[in-house]
Amino acid sequence: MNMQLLKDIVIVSPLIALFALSLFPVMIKVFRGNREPNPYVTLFLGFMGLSLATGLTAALSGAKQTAFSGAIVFDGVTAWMSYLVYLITAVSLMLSFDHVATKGRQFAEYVFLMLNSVLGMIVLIMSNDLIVTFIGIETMSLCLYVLCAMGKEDVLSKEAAFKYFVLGSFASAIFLYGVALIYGTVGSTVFPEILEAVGTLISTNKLFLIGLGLVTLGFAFKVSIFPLHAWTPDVYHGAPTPVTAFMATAVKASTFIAFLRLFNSDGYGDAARFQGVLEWLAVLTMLIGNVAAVMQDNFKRMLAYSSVAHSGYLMVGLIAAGFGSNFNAGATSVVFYLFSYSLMTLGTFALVAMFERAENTAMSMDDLKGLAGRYPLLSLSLAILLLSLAGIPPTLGFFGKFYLFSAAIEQDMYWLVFWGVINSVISVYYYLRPIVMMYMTDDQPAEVLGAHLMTRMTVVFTALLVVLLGLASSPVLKAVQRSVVNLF
Amino acid sequence: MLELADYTFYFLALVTLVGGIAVITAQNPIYSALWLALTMVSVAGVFVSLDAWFVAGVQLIVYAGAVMVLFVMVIMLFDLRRETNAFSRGMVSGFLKLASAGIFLGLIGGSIYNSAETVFAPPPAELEKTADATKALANTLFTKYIFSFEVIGVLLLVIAIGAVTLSRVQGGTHAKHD
Repeated sequence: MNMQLLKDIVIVSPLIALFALSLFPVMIKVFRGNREPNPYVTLFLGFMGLSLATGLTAALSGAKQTAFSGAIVFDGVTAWMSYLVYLITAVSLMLSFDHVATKGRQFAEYVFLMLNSVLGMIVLIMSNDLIVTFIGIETMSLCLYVLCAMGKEDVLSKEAAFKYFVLGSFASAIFLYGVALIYGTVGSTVFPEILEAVGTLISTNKLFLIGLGLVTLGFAFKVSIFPLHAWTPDVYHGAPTPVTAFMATAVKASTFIAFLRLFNSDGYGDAARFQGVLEWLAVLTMLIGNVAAVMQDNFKRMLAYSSVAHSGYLMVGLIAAGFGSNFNAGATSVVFYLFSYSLMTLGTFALVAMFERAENTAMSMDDLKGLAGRYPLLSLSLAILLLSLAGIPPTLGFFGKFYLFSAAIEQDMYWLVFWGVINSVISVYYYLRPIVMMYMTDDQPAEVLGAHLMTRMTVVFTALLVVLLGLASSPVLKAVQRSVVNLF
Repeated sequence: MLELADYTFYFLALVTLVGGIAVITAQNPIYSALWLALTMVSVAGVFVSLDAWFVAGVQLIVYAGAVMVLFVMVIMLFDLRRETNAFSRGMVSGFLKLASAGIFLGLIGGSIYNSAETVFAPPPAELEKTADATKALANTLFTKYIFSFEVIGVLLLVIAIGAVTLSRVQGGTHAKHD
């Protein structure tokens, strides 16, 4: 056995651990003659896989390493984002355990698919090669298509799965076409070589520019950026809420990191027209997300549109990183924002999950009426999470937006920041509406919610984190910055 | 005088034929699919005996691997019993089957007849063995791209389990109630 290969395998050991543990629940099910194993055992095995992977990631983090002939890279950002994705998954598993649409006779398969989706995400985060990126996206998405369809709900979840599958395959094809064109013009699919060639090729070679545009579109679909955002509300609405929480956070986090790696080059500085197109996409994404969210009465759909809008904010940071002179500042703000966005969104979706008692019920804004009287702690937590999503100090969401926009201002992108701030103001309206419902309409008492112990813990815990990390945001930012600067 | 290569060919040809006939005579669609896999493998064997390593590899990977998995999945996802009956009875469908088989035979015969000159001519002397190129391909695949290769393995398992999961999922207009 050669030593290099052994070293490479050690670097991907978190993935191996995840995969191995994900097999246990389904294997138990097979050996028990297709009878569902005890859900507590399944949940425990899922947590085992996640904590093993977290431990291995922590043990491996240190200097930047590449493996498998440069196909994957393990650096500070890989480690940070891996932790985030593992945390999101652990929370999503807890939500799924409580939720009516996902618990039951297919929980073993559910955990298998979720862990392998995480495997795809980590591959995506580690990827240093467009081929590996593509495989990561596919592994992640294929699991998600099935997860969307697994709700027991009758129409919407199947419709969501089918829409997501058809459109997702379409986006993958576009992405792959872009990879082919980039390979044709650069002669390599490895990121360092592509990024080195960007400076000369982007202004001289139209084919390369088209390839880059198609790859960007492929990413844009996954993080729902205009004009490829139209699937988001339907899929987020139709999928079981724990799956929606998982999709809205983990997919966005991992895809944005791969997106960011593609922009880690000084060569983009000359491509003014490409930058202009991306800026317009960012602005339109923010506008459409926010304006559509204002008009929603269904709480879950409102959150879906708000997640579209947040993709727009993240694009601002991405553009500041890629086209500005200081990649690290932009990248740090994006990584930080991904953390804050994921925490807030997870908590909010957890609360939505609590309101869904039967598989065919949808939560509307009116359900929140008078919640503060019956559940003061939950209401306070939701209020904090929503204020944070709107970006009101001193919550984590405010600092996320602050760093994002200040990174863009540093690069003189005032136009973008102007639109970002305008949109934040619009968003305050629909984030405050639920708070008004909870606290200022006490003519009728809220309905009694189910026990959902772990879901309840999630809501309170994320709200607490949002406040604490918001207050301690500068040390957190410094830590993120270190990992980005030294190791990206 | 028959040589070892001839015996190999006749054996593989026999397996291919038996497999092919079994594909259309087997009652259970899963068995049909498995027989088809055997047919594909023996055709790959014929390619190997002709030193066409690359084609053999592609035959195995694409047909015996990917296409077969696809077939098995379709069979799993749909309840084919009713469709089987619909297809195996009736004068019209019998006539259609005979007609399409005849047209297909005519196509094959015609193409053999028209290309006989080039197909049965002795191969040009400078025809290189493709073994080296295949070896190089395998080397790259299993060293430089080994990570992608392995992750695709995970992806295929996910698809297999995902398809089974979907076929048993609750809810939806086409759900199976068991």
